[in-house]
Amino acid sequence: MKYVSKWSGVSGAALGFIGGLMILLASSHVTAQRSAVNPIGKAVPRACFSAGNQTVTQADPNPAPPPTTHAQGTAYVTGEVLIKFKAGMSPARRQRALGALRSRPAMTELQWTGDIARFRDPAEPDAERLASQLAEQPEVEFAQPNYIRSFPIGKAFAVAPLAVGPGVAGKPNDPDYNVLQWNLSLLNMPAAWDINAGGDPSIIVAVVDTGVTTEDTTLAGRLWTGQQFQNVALRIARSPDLSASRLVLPRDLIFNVGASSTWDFVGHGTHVASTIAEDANNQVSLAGMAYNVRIMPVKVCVGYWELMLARAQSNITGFLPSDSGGCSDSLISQGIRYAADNGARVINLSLGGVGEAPVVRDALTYAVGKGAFVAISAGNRFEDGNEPEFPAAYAPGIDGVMSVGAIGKSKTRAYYSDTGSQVEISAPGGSDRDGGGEDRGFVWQVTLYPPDADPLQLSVPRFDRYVEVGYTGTSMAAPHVSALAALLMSQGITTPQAVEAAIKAFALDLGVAGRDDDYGFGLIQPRASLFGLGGRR
Amino acid sequence: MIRRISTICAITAAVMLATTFARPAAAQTLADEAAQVRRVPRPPQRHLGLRAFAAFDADAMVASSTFDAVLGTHILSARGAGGELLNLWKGLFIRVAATRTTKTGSRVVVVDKEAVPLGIPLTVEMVPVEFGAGWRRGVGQRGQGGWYAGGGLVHLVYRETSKFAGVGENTNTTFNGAVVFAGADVRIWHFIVGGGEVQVRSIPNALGTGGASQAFSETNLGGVTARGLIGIRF
Repeated sequence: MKYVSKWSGVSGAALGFIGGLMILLASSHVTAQRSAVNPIGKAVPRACFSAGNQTVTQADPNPAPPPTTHAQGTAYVTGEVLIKFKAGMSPARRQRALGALRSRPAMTELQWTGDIARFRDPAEPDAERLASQLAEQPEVEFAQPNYIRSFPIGKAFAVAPLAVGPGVAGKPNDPDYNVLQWNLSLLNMPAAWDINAGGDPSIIVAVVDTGVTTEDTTLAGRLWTGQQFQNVALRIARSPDLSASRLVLPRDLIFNVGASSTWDFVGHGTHVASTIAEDANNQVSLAGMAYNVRIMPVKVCVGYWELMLARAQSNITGFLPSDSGGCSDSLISQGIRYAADNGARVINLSLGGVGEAPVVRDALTYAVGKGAFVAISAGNRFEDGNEPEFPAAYAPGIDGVMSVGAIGKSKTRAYYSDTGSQVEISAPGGSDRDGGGEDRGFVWQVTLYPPDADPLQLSVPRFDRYVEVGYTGTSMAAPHVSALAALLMSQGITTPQAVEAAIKAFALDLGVAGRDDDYGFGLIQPRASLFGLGGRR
Repeated sequence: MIRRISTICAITAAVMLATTFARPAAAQTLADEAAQVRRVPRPPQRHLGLRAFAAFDADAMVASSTFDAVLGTHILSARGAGGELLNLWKGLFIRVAATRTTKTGSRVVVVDKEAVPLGIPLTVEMVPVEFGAGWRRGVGQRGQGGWYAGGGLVHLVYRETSKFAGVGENTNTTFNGAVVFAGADVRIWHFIVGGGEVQVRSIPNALGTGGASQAFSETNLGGVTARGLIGIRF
């Protein structure tokens, strides 16, 4: 077997560049008890980044302390802030602002991405304090900790094997469409496809997430087995129901920086991408809503195995909590900007967390200005405090960005789906409490076989086997809206503002009459949105 | 004295004679004039007449935003025909006319009062049938021209069909409204007349309960029509 040693090629400099997330590798064997029950579908617990003070390895030339947990629960990169200075500030004025910090850093210590500066203060671990001090300076437009968001799959998952062969007569012919994809039937997608059959290939939808595997390969990696470090071969393969020709301009902003491929070691990004654009009418398993559009995988989030690989590369022993993973605000904002700059007309963000993220808000505004519509999951913490999550909470203030809540099969709000003024629209996210039937209430798509990457069962994972997987969560709801946006853009709507208006105007009002905090404007109605208005009806 | 009387009598007689000879001449002149008056043709008697015409309309719809949105214009052309029964009583006439307009555009979404076409073909067809009456006044010798004005009812057949429409999503209905009109025509050759007319139609509450018209808060399917017509009148 030919091993392609890409993983080992990740340099310390690259790790330093990616900043926040890679610092996770410093947080060691913490909260092991929390990982005892770890369905992959569970949202990343707040504590998973929170403890530990493991020495950072020699592989990272820019060592940093472990992440710290925000008072409200969202982790952030310890001592790291993201700063945006007001326009027109001279270097001297910027330097004056930095002087407000106890460490009085020099301008040369800032790392710039566009107009956002990232600074890690070795003398002050409390990034919220740093941000607060900087935000008070008149030269600073905003400053924020580099929060680490979660990519919340709901509360559970289920698995079914791939199905190949003709389905029940009708559209589409994917064999398990009629069996499992209640969500697309609920949205009357066959009627929508009569108007627009899966969208136009010229429309690119960026999935800013854990990535989507764009190549079949084997990586040489190194993992801690509990006794020692072991060189391992990691098999990686593309989804059999997501054509390679429809995966375009992939970008890995974490490990494989600069390469023209991405890998998904979690399955979240693939599931999301499949809801949007899984191949349809090919007699394989399931279908996506906009099965002709193209997907731009933008990897800004990592999961357990990537962190373990990075730790091993840095000779850090021990295990992480099995549900470790996340996406830093700095990378999310970079991913959004990359997508907008490279032709994405729609951007899906199935991620979030509490704590303001003005750097992401800036990126959202930038993307809309570039003509991209953005759908964001509203959050899965209704039963865990129901605090507004970001960046979803920015959506109502930006025309062309929508935050998406989840409903179950009965068209009622999913029990986990956040409520509040940030909820603008609803889409199927599934609910295991609203199940019944073979689908059990989950949203099913083809993605990585979860047990192949279960840290509680395996010491060496594999990422080359795909099955039909049912997840629940607002992460699953958001891609329905992204797919609808892609169909609308295929139909001729050119601006993100118009897309949002079309989605809202035709939504099926649920709950209290008019917009409400449970459902927003209601459940998306793809067929009605695509059909639009006549003169009189 | 007697001579003086004779002289006076002679003068008187002469005057009387002159007067006598003069009278026939004056009477002759009046007779001529009377004859001339008799030669002027009498105004034609208002026999029952008929005007039939082909109409070529340009309709400027009141619901301009709605039609601009779905058809790309609110000026629609129509063709049709009509007939009038003239001189029912003096200048009174009645008319029946019908035109038909059809145009294909696109279904839309309306965002901030602006329409975004979706590329789904939509065809609007309107057939207004006019039932009117008016007053006509001839102009010129032998009634070569005339002007007229009137009003009446308009019964509109309205159809809207879209590709991909499901059950109940197309429109095929009728509305009633009012019309006033004024125009003029002129005889071109023998019975052939040509003319022009302006109409104002009002068909209230025909729109506004759905579709783009609801988004634009437009309810009236009427408008102003400029009509060119050619036909026969006798």
